[in-house]
Amino acid sequence: MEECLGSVVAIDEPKKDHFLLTLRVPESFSAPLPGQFVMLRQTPSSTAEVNGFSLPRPFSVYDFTAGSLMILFRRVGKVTSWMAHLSPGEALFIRGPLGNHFPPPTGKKNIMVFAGGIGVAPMHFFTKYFRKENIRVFVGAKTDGELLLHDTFCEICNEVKIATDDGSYGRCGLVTDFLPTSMEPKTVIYACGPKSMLQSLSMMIPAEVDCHVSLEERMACGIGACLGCAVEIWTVAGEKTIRSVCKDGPVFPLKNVVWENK
Amino acid sequence: MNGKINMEVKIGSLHLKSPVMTASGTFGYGEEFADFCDLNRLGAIVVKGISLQPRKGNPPPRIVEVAGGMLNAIGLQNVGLDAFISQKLPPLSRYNTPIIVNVFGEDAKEYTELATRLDGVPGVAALEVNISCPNVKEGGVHFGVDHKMAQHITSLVRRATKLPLIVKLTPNVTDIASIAKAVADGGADAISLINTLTGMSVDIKHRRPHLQNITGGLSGPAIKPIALRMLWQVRKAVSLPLIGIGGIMNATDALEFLITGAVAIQVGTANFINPRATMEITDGIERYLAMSQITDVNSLIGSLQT
Repeated sequence: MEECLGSVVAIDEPKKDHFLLTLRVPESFSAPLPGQFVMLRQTPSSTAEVNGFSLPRPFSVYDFTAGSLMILFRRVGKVTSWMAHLSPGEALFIRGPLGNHFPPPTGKKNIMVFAGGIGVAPMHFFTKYFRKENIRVFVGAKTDGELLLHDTFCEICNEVKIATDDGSYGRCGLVTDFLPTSMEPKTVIYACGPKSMLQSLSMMIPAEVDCHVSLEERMACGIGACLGCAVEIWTVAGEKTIRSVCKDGPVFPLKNVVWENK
Repeated sequence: MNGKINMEVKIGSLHLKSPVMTASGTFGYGEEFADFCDLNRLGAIVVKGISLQPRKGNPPPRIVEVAGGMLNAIGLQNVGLDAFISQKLPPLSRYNTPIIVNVFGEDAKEYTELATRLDGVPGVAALEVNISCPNVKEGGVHFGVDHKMAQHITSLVRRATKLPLIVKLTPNVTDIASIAKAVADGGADAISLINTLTGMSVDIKHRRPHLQNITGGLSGPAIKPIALRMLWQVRKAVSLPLIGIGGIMNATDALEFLITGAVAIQVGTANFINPRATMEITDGIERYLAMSQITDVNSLIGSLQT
């Protein structure tokens, strides 16, 4: 795995402050699997300046087809503001694909996907990748203005349900409210979203039900060197141990994640 | 690149094929960068700091980007000495590059034990003693800011090992030259400087520090002028070989340190941004020498005109 140069094919803003970036990648870029991520950074020749020093930033893969990598991101800070102003033809460095991936839902009957906020990005790639499976998707957002990919999920899946915190679209409440109280055997759940959402799921999902979550943490390198993206994980022996989100994750079994009561 | 240019430098008995090394904590245990770099081209690899026992480090968030650099409070997370020797060191032995082991202890006895146990371990070319990590309350910081303690630890390690001994200094002191003299008196073969500067950053939305540890070590381009100034002060104070560290992002930065008097340099934070940074810096130094018609990097070292 090396860093490669990608060039911007298109950048769209489907919702205010939310951008869909399509990059052309060279043949040397390996096809990512759902759950994997890339680190993006500016090239020295970038026209839009990030303003001096800037670390690369991690983004999960939204979609990939041969030669074309798509990233869905929200404008939150310096780097995403720079990215929002990219124009077609501009180049940026891509490091990846990085990290592990969601285990396939093979042999499972009841497949559920929970996606909160910008966490829809990796769940889109997962759902599209395994579209032949009968996947039910539950999407949550703070408000209609931040609700992403509803239509896209509807094209891929038979069942899509929406919840918004303020009730401006779909059900008023949290996406985790959709979690059934009883689950048949052979259920598997995949999720990505804010920590509060994943923590709720960890309290609601019985231990015998498989659940795989994609975690996010600040990181500088994406390759296991900086040790910035530490996460506490329960070992089989019931001890807490430190793992790196970038290298050991970003996907972990939900029951293995240690949650701080803070 | 150019066969006529000599890039080899010496740090005491240690021969490096290039003055470009990696800084501890920014290059993992080396293997993480094998996809990106020809590890054989490096002057030396300085591995992540090792303690006697494994350490979990600090809770996240551990890093935050700031203007001109980053703050980190990793908290010296590492696999511990036993796992390092049995798991991390062997894969590195297939590279023709000296491995320098960065060590830190919580007390004088631990420093002695680390040095004793690493002495004679195949594949270990030198020790870099960290008396300067600012993140862990019980860690090395009090050794590195007090010249008596710095000398004491250095002399203990000196007695415990025949390996070349590099001591890494903290910039969080009033007079770095006095610490450098103390370390020289303690028997160090070389000094590396600087470690990170203690810093802090606040999230005004939540009125909380960005780092869970509240404070962290500042690295990156922001600290380069300070590192150069301290290198200059230490150069005037001691005659030991010096290894320059601090915000080296490109060949120009590296050359500034060499000209100021560093016999070698360590690339740190730049590895996170560009995992090929060490290779590009090596190429850049060679290009500069060729363009300046200098055939030996040693004639550039310390050539600062004042």
